[in-house]
Amino acid sequence: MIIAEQICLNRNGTQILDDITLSVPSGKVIAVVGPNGAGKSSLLSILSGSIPPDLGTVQLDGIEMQNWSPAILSARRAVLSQNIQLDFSFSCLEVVLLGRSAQNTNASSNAEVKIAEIALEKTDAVHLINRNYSSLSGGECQRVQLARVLAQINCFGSEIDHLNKFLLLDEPISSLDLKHQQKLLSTVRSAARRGVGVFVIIHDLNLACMFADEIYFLKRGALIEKGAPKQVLCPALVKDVFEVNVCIKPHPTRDCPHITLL
Amino acid sequence: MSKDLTHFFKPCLIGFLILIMVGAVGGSLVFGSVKIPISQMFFIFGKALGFEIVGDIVRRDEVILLGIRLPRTILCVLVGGGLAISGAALQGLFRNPLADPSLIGVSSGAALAAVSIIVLGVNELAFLPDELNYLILPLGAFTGGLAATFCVYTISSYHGKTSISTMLLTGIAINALASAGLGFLIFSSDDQQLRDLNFWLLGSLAGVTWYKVMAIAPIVIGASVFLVFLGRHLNALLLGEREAFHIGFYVEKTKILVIVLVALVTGACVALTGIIGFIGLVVPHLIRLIFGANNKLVLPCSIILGACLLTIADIISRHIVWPAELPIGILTSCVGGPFFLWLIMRQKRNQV
Repeated sequence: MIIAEQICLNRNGTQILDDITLSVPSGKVIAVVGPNGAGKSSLLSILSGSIPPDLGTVQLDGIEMQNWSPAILSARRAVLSQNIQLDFSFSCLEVVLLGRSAQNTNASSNAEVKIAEIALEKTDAVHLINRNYSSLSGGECQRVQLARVLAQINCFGSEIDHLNKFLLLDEPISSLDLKHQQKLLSTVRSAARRGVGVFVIIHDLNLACMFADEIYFLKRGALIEKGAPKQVLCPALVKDVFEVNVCIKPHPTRDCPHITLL
Repeated sequence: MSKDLTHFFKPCLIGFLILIMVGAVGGSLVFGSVKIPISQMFFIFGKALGFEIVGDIVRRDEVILLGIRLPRTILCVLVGGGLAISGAALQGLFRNPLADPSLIGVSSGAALAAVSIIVLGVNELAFLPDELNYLILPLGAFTGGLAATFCVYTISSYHGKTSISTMLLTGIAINALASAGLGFLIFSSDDQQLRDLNFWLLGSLAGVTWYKVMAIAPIVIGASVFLVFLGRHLNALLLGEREAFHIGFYVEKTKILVIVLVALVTGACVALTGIIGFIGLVVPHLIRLIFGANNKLVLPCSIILGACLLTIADIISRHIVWPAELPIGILTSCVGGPFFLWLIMRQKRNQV
């Protein structure tokens, strides 16, 4: 379990995160929603260990993130950031194998290629495997990057125990078409069924309701509300966080709320 | 299908590169103002390696081959390979295919130090033996190069983190300062000094001795081998520093290591040969065009191709204005400049 306690983050005098306490448990999907600039990506950076909080602690297995060796940590948690640029010509297979390169000095062995292929299958990108990464469209790039992240912690490998592995995803579906939005979130969901703890930043409230166990509402660096979609979602909360009027009804076929903009 | 093809082609191409290098090295030993028969060459090498030789060996040929051509050829291989891998590593670090070892200030720092030494005349200290006097210039240049890199690095580091884009800008500023200093020194130098320092600024492989080659060989070989092993670190860095950390690498340590190693290699090369442009820029590019961007291949192959190109360029520079010798920096810039322009145009076309 990744546990963050009383996280505060200041940058140039602005309070970016204010006293946030949360945990990412194994086997659950936690969705984080909030307006632009609410501090979602900063929170993800702190949970991933790439920046230390000004106040508070982040721990994995009771050990502070800053005290983990990067290579050992990378086998336990993988991170998908926004806007990854790669100006050099790599094949998609090479990009996915990059995710495995710190844990393995021989990252192009057959076993490693197999892991990469499975990950690409899970993101519906296996047909791109030998394509040049820089020739892909935005959505295709995103699928290949997600495959890299899945391959890093090998969460679809043959081993059964994926408890204590974590995925931290920053808007993983922002450039995807409808079909692939659904496909990728299903993949993330099935990773969670295998025990992986998922922390995902997402903008589409309806998709968050369909695929998340819990939704966290973030506004101006503070945690406003958290809980299962069915229990916490109400028009007043959405109005408070996003400043839009909505009506909320049950989803026609699934057991979750459905939000309509008014 | 295409995967199998590349699996087959890449080893072939690497073999081909090595063949070209062997050819270039052979050519560099064979061609020169004095004709030495091939059989004579084998006798001379055989003798040097300790075999019993029955044939006659002309003493003059032996001196030319072992005392002049061989150290020069080895220097070509060392400097060409060293500059090329430095360029490849920095392009990876800066995530910019147009980066060059001169960006971190090492070349201009070395140039400033070398020219200062020439103009101030400290390379002819009467009380020192000749061998030490010969080493003052390269040692000074090496120290100057490292000092400039250290400046660039310290200025662009903040709280133990180095901003790569700040480093690029700092490098430009330090280069400008150094060239101002250079300009002043050139302005205040006399005619003989002007000739000496021109030779240095244009880059030249002439006047090599075993003594000098042996002084840089351990630095260049050691640091280059180390850089080759950083290939997977540099690959991860191409995704960005944050991503490289997420994947599991110590980013700050890698950056410092790459900069120190590159400064050592480039500093050592520039100290002996002066400024030889474009090898560090162009060679990694050619390699990427052929082999793709994977640094595990780009770094070692750059060494081989850099060694080839500089050796061939040296053969040409020795003959093109015979009996004089063209400074090799002019030749590499002459070929490198148009190639660089072509790269920029190509990039522009691809962006449209």
